[in-house]
Amino acid sequence: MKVNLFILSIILIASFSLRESDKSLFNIPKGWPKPEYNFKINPPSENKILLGRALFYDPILSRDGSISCASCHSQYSAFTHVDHDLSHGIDDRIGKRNSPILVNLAWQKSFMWDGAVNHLDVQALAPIHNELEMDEDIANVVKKLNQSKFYRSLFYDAFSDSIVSGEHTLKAISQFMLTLISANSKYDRVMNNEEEFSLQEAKGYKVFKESCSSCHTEPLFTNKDFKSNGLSIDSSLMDYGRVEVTSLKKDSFLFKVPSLRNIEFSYPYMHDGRFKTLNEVLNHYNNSISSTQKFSDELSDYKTLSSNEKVELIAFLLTLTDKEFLFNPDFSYPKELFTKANSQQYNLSNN
Amino acid sequence: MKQKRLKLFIIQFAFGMVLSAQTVDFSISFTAFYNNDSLKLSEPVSKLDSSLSITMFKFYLSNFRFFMKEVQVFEEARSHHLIDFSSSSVNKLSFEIPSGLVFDKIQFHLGVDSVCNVSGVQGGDLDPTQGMYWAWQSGYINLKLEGNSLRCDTRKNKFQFHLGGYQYPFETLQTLSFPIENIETLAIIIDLNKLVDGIDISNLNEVMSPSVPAQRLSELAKKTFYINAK
Repeated sequence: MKVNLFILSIILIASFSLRESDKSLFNIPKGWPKPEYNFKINPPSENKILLGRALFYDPILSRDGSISCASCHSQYSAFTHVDHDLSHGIDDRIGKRNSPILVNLAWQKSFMWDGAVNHLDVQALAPIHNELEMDEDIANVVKKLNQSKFYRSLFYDAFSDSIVSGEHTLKAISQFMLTLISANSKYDRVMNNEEEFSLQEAKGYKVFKESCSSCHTEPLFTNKDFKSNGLSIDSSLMDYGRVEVTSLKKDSFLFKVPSLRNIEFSYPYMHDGRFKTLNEVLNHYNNSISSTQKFSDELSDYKTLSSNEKVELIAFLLTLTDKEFLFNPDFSYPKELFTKANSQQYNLSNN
Repeated sequence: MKQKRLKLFIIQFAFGMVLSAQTVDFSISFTAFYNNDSLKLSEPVSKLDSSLSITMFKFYLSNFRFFMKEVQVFEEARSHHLIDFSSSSVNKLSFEIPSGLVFDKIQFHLGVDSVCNVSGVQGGDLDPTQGMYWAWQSGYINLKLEGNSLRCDTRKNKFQFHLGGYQYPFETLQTLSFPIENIETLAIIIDLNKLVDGIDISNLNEVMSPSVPAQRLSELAKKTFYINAK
């Protein structure tokens, strides 16, 4: 009995200290809600994050080694596909939707514009298998990774197992994506009393709270729900959104409410990237609200914005830009790691 | 001295663990048939019907539970098994159960339950490299049955049933239970004819998403499992 307790306490102490040391890898910003992601099933570690970062930037995930996650999710545009209304993947094939930003994913309940993916750990399967994106198969990705000394050693460092599995590959990619936290914009600093809004920004914040915040709820700037904002159907796409996942009629025209963080850099806007500027977006809300198009209830008491209010609102939206996030070297292409791999003549991609 | 004592303790502890965890094996065999012929993949299912062949048959079984007089007496931990008939018409599962356990019924799921479907990525038999996970929409494929039939007016006369779906209104998980007479082995027979015969394969030959046909086929798939009564 004594021994059982002794061994148990050693295990407890060991696991506790491990948890303590790893806690710093994922910090919840002040005043933010509890993350949706269950870290117990995939405890953060530096080596896993590094492996995930390598996988995120490596086109080895695609059928012909041409497309990486970063191809459609580049850091300087808040991890979306800058300047493309619809994202393009392998062989320049054009996808169906605008790639979403990758920001504060630990707080997301579901993924993709229609919520087709229910957990961050299985998210990467969708672009890997989509024939317009990477056109690959996870089993083949794992086969390629197992043929690479470089990756086998990274997997060993991360999971104490040099045999690559689908589970470990996806968990590592999640680990990197979980680190993509944007919480140091001017807006955040104002909320933390470290800075002040200009008069125009302050007025814009008031407009925001009156007209936008029921869906784009602070501090994540999304209520994580699916809504219709009255966009007309693009007849070349015939995309009805969430209904395609649930087959429930009530879900027609519903798309995920996107976060507005770093909106200055994540253009073009909407699920099909139909609007290039924030002005166009606000004009849509101003002009279409009276049309017969289906709207979610939140927009029923939307009050048409004056041109002054639009300018103020845009000034506020620009305070959601987080330069620290957009230029964080920890999130960028792991040049040193890949250079080291090449110099050691590791087999980085499938030959 | 202290160290020596500690070593001794650890050895005693380990020995104690082994003793307390004494188990016996209980095994279930699954034999696939098409009518009276045992299943051979990519060959005509019978001499009588050369127009139909099965090229792939695999499925998940999960949550194995053992009952005595309707009271659960044991359940397998991490109970998920991929049964694949690609190399043999017989598959066997072994369970380590506590020795002395008495039970008269076994119950399990055909498919993967909803909790498992929303818990992210998992390894082993549940690893997405097994080809039993939908990439475009989260969720496990509970059962894959593919083949060719001259009755199918499709490319290469193919039929493909990828059955799954864990969410309302298209749940496909099935529960099976069998009485136990022998506490060492159980022989389960799967007769695929009962599934194929239950549908008009010339009309219904491609089901690859959570849907009403997927539900109907899953219910039929459940009926292919039976044991030979004595």
